[in-house]
Amino acid sequence: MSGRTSWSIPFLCGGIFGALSTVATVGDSDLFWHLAQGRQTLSEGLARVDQFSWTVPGMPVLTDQWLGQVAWYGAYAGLGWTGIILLRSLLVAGIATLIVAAALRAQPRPIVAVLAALPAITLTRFAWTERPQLMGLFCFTLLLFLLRVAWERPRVLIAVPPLILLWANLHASFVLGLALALIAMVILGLRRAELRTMLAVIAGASLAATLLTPSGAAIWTSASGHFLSPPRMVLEEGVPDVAQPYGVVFVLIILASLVTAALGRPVPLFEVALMVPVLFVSMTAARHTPFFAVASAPYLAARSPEAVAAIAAGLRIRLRLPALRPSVPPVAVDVVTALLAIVAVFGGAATARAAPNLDPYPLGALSSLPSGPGLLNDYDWGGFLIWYAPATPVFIDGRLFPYTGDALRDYDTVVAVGPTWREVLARRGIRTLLVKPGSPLAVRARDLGWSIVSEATRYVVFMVPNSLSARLD
Amino acid sequence: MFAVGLPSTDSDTYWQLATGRWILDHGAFLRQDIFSSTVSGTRYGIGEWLGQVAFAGAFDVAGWAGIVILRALLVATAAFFVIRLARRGGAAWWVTLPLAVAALLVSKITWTDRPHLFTLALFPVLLELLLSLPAGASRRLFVFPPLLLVWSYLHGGYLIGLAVLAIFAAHAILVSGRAGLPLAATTIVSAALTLLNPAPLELAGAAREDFLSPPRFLSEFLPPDVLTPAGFLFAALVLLVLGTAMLRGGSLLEALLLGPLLYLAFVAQRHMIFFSFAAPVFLAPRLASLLDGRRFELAPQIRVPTAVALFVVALVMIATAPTAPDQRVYPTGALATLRADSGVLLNEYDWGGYLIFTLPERPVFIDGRYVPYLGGVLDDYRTMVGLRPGWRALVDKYRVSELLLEPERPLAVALREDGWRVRASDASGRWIVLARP
Repeated sequence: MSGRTSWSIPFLCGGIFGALSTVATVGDSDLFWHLAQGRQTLSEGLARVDQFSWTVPGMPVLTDQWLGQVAWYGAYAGLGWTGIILLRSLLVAGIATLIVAAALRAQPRPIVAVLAALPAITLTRFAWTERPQLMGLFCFTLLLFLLRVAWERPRVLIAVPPLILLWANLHASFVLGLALALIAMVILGLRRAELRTMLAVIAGASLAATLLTPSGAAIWTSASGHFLSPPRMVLEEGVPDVAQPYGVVFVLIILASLVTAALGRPVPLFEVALMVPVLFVSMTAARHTPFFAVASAPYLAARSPEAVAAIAAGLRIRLRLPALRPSVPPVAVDVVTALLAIVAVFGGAATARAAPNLDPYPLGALSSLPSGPGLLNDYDWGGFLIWYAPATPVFIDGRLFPYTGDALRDYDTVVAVGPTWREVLARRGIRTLLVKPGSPLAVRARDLGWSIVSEATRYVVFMVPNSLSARLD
Repeated sequence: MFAVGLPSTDSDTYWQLATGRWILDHGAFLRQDIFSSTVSGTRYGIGEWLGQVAFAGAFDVAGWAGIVILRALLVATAAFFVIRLARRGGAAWWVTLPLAVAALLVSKITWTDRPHLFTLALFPVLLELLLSLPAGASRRLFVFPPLLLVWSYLHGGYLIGLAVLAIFAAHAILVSGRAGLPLAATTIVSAALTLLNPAPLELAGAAREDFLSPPRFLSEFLPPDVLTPAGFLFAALVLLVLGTAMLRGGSLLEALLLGPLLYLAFVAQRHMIFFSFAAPVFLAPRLASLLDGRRFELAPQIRVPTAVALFVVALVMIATAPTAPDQRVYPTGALATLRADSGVLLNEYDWGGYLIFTLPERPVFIDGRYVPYLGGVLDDYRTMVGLRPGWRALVDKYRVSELLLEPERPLAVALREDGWRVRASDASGRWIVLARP
């Protein structure tokens, strides 16, 4: 597509979805430890070892999201919970804007482009969390937009190394972006020999940019670990499940792509290279499903009308889209639309409930938790405790990787009442349990008549009897 | 060759054999549960009766070797037709063979000794028949109603066969208009004929449940995991189909057929086989066209020796086929203890089928048939074994007097602490028998 592209519709969609995202409550279980780590980085410098748990204190922790954590904490420090909502809605608005813009580049008919972009935006809804992950999705959307523009204007690839540099410091998903950028540059180089030197320099700079992080070369370890061996015990790292709403949307997008490919006109290898590798990554874990949705939106926008027309022809239905492209409005209209979108996002954030939703957390238990080591907490509540009960170090939390090994194994043994659960309680010196009432550990502790310090529908706090450790000793 | 070399391991094989044996012994359908202490007398599925009889018959004739040979025959049938399907487009063997092998390796997760194997074999047969069908009326259409009828006696997968038949009929009408009507009529007749099944709606109901709310606690009903070998191969086929179709285009039939089969595959990994078997039909010619000019044919002088060598290996594999199932995952050592006792036994879900077959005198609490247990017993079983609130009341309600569980189950740990006696246990820690004090 040549000529100026109107950004009015992308901005409009971005504003709408950005404003809509402010309705979603804040309270992702990992948000709290990200905030705590961001605060620590700003006040004491980058934390390379654990300071929040009593099970792995001093052990190395991942630093691959340090900039994202700082950004989230910065938003919180500046505007409180409203800042978190605002940053999230700005990112959502940015993602929606770029998805629609990419679709409009491929399909000039606005209605078709927006319809094709809607499933992708819908699927990103499952990633509207207050975590660096959302920044990674924004970077991915921006990169794909740049790569598609680069097919006609290769010079825009100059923006790739700085984007990769930023992304590598925000979130580990940069690996996917780098791989895609390299594949795209190879295909572009095969097509246009005169660009090969420039592409080689950009590719080298992009690779080098990934090393400019506090983790250095180790950043690749954590990123590849996530992609190749996702911890399936975490819900979002599970296999995409078509029995869940997000899974239905994901699979329908794959089916739409397949049907479109079968019935639409062929496309260049470049387009295939931007979609097929992303599909594999998306199939590895539920949290990765938005990637393919974003990558396929422009393709669906461009080619799905052909597939629909082919099916309609089979049904003897005459279907013809208007051949005329709509006129591109003046730049002033784009500017006004952008301003309106910003107003909508800021207005939405300003009027949103400026407090996290703590319903899923054991808020009422905080006053009964002892300070110092000795608490065994539910995995899902670790981040919450790091933020709201800093005097009580956690047994485990959503950072997961520092705990891989003995700590995680011991946690699993105790909460599942495994054969050596009492031995672990004694060896670890666990004095207090903060668990869900329906968990096997809570049921067993109640059976044994252990003293309950605090209790509500969602949680129960038990004191571990002193006699337990004495008997085992 | 590969299939014949694998020992029987699936826990469901045992209750399928027990059911088939009962049908053969009594000359009647087994319409209600006789194997459990919890749902005894409850109606349950008879939709796979012929498949169960076939396996029981093979067992009666040649023991476990009979089971292995039946399995090998069904897998060989599937392999033969999958390769024929892949070769339909005339692509070179070095394009079609890897695709067919990949599809068969995906299917390996379903090479279990159950009526499901009949669907594994019949699905590619149906595809081959449909793809070789001439347009309009043909005497070949008469093959489909009896095929679907027999299939409906063998396994519930006939519903997928009916759906595929309907897809081909819809395609024929879309493309050829009135010329597609004979196939549409054949589809209707086939569907009507399957109602002669002794439980026509029962399988449809079960299939609907499996599709809408797959029982995720069973590994075969988990969604495809692309980081497992079978899942990876499945993903590779999906990516190849999508990538090559984007580059070369496809057809209406491909869109109509592969779309639903792909959705089905995402519902549960056991359904990956249908997409994987159908995909090479469309994929092979496209790949061949993308790799055009790269010819590599097997030299004529080595074709015959290769065939002879494969035949000899097949004979050796058959001669050395395992004559006993692999029972290392089962509590074989607990049988003597359990046989000496009585009362309600709470057993591990995965061992229920094995106990039905090897210890018929002790009714099971639960087993792999799972449907009769849905709603009540299955939930109660999970509550007890997982030590959920109310577990103790349930142990008393069912009057459980003995347990056969994995030792690390929370219930086993709790009851040992509460003084239940260890009647027997496995030295390597795979099972434990506990009895009330």
